[in-house]
Amino acid sequence: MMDEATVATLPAPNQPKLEAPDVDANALVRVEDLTIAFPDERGERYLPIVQQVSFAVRRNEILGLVGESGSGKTQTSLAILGLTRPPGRVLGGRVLIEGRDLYAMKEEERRQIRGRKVAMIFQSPRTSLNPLTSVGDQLVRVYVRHRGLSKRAAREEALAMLRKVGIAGPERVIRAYPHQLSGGMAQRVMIGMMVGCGPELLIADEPTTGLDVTIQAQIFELIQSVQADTGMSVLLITHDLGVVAETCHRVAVMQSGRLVESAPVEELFAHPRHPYTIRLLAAMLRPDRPPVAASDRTAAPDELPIAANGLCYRAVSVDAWEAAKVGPPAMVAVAPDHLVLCHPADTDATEGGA
Amino acid sequence: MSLGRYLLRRLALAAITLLGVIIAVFIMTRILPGDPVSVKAGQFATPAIRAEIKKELGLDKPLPVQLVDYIGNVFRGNLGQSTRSGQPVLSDLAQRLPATIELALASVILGAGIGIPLGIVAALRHNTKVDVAIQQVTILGAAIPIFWFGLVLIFLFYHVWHIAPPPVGRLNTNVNPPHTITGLYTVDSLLTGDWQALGNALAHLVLPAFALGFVVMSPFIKITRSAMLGVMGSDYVLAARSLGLSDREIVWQDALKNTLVSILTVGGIVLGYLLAGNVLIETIFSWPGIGFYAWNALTGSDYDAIQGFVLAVAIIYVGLNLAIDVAYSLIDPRIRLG
Amino acid sequence: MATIQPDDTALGGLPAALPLDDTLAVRPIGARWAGPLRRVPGAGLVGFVALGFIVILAIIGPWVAPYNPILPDTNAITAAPSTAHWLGTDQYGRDVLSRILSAARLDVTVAISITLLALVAGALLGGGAGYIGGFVDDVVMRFVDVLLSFPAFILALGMTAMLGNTTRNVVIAVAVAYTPYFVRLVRSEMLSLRESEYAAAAKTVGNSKARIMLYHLLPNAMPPALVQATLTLGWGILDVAGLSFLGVGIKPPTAEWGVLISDGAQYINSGQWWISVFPGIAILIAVLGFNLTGDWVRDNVLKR
Repeated sequence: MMDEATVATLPAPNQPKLEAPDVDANALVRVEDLTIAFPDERGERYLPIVQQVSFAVRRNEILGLVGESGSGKTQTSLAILGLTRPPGRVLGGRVLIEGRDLYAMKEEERRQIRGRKVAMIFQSPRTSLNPLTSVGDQLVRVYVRHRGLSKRAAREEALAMLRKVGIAGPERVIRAYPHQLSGGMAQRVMIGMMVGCGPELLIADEPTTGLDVTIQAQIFELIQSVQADTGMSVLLITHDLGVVAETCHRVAVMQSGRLVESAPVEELFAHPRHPYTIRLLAAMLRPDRPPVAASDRTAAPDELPIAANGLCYRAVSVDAWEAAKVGPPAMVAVAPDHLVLCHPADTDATEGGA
Repeated sequence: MSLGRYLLRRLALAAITLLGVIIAVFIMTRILPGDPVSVKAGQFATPAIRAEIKKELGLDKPLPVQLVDYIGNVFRGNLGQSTRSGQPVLSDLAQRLPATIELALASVILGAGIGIPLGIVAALRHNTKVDVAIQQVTILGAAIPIFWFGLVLIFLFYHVWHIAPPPVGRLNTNVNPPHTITGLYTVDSLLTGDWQALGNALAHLVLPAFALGFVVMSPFIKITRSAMLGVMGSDYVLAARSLGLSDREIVWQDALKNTLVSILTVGGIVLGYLLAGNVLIETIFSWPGIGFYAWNALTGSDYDAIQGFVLAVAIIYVGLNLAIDVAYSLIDPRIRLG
Repeated sequence: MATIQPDDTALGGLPAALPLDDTLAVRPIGARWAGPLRRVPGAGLVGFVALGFIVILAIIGPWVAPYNPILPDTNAITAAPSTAHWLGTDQYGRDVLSRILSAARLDVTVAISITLLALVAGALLGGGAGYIGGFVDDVVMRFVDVLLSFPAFILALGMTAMLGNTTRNVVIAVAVAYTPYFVRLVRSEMLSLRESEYAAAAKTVGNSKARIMLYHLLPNAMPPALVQATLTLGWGILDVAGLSFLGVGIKPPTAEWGVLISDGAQYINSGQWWISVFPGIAILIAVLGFNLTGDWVRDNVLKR
């Protein structure tokens, strides 16, 4: 019912972004100022779920996207595939896949990208398969379509792929129906299905929800080994920082629809800057540090960081905030490849330095 | 539980229910305010004759014994005797059953054949004007009195526009029925190449089947629409989309199959509408099936026939519901394979 | 330290909410735009109007009717609609409009009575069965199963054929046919309520079991049954009219919409359509009114 209209980007924040130069220009996937909104209950207004999120997934890396439930991680990942589910809409921003603007394409071109260039595995693998069709039939269908194989060749491929993802007895699994698989097996099947098409980027949306801890570890190992073998990138969405520490190369942290910090893993864990990240890390019990006092761990939901002198920030009092004449938030580079969402201040009216 | 055990359980439950049904009908037959003895004996019978008749009808025995007798009779196929035709009720019903089946099948074919595509369209275009229009059709179908609708159709198509044949029976009086193979005139004339009979039979079938089909259409539209919406919003459709499958491919390869399975679940409801509406429609169109027979029995106070009809309908209803359950459990691998 | 309330502008960029406006210069992406799932817009309003209309007719009908609905008038047999008789007359010269108005009261009260009867019976049986459990529950459920093995209309048909077709019997027969649905709904709610803490608390305070069931739990078990009641109001009219049409419901010369339709059935083919058509429209409006209003109530009031 909507007329096609040209994309008009919404007003950009009036501070220039200080990105890590060069590295992201050739990134596999670039998300720029992505804004996604849903209509409110009465259908009168849009409420932003994801606000002006910008990050990039580089080649041959595992990028972790971290945040609590409701932070917008899943919506962001769906938007990368152009699969935002109505009534939600992408209101602004761009998604560039190998330099091509996803939302400027026709739907047929987008469908070419899905599966072949970018694939996705979901939280609940058993319901991600059609319950009335056998697992084998579904695998074969995907391989026939995406790799142009004959049915017989596809079946062989499916068996081989199932072995590769660590399923013993693939012949039985091929004949089985999704409800007969365990959660871990189903996720392996999904990985095999998606990876079998040779994508450049695999988005894994909390792929181990509801799985046993030991199975979780196996799945992550599998993802890592596939990544190492094929050189594909992985966007790993999770709320578990422990997984991030062990699996990812870089991390991006989301809070309430905004990307608040991104950095290489070691850097983030060693020098978190954004208050939210700090608290997130503090909430993890770590054997090498004393547990953080409860009062320090509770987050004041409205604290906003300020960058003084363009670089550092700290939550301040209301008066100091007003005195500092803060501008709209932007990503600020506090170290090479380490970006933090801050409010640039005109004057240095903060309490103390970095 | 394994499929075999599940089916056995359903079968056993159905059998017990049937027994209960027979008992219920028996209770119904014995709460007659009237006196069957008087009905049979007439006004001038002497007490001796009345006692004879009472014994003949088995009404002199204690009630529990009567019940057992009745159950035994039912199992032997003895549903009593029609006072109008003089024939056993069972044979009366059996003779008329094919006509009812033909009408019921035609109605289901029409209702599902139109309703299911409409439901799919409504789901794929949901919240658009098309969807709203289809929902309005559903609302109308659920509120319309079926017998009135049949009359209106007759008025318009027969009386005003002269398109339909006279609404009496399955064939014009000057057309001979085809050779009996199935008892369904349309099928039989097709099988025997009797084109005149085929044309005439179809012409007579259209209006009543459409009247009944229109009412039956509503549950089909509703279930198809909601099943389709559920499927299109499901996780596996999202996963299929993420693989680059187009909506059309998804609908044909995945969505339809899953939706059609859900449609089976309204089979019972549709059946109920059919059996009920059947009496009304057959009466209006003088369609010689069991519904028309029941109406004649009602107006003629033919109590054995009425009871036999009610019992027969219940048995059909229970049996077909069981068949639907079985079919569903065979199709859905989650039940079939446990 | 005071916390800062981030207002719309402090967050920069976007306001918290944008108007839902087709003129927003953005492109819709992906699958077809679908707003919040709505029913047919305005259905509730149509339902209210229709229902109000019918209820008003039911209340004031017999006083407003221009002619006596039962007295025949040999001067105006099967007269077409005219200024004298807005909806025409039937084969006895009776004014169709007056008959319809007179029937409105009967049909509406009958439908309400049936629903109330089935609702109360179902609530007591279902609530009792669910609460007591055990043998009582088994017996009630078997009884319900047997009743449900008949299509409701056929069951009512059989019963009125046996009992005789007075208005009272018709109401009872149809109510009996509907009761199983209510029994199941209330029982299923009661089964879970029985285990609730609320019930345990009531028991510790020393209430008798009957009191607990009736006063504390049963009211909470009702909502799904109330939803069902909104449906049976419409069904009741259709089923009673159908039974009357067949001759086993309400008897002529009593004015009931189904009776009116059957009065006129034989005249349809000779062109006097008004005798049957107008009563059917009345039924349509009434059932639409009940159904659509019921839908609206379901969606806006009973969704707890």
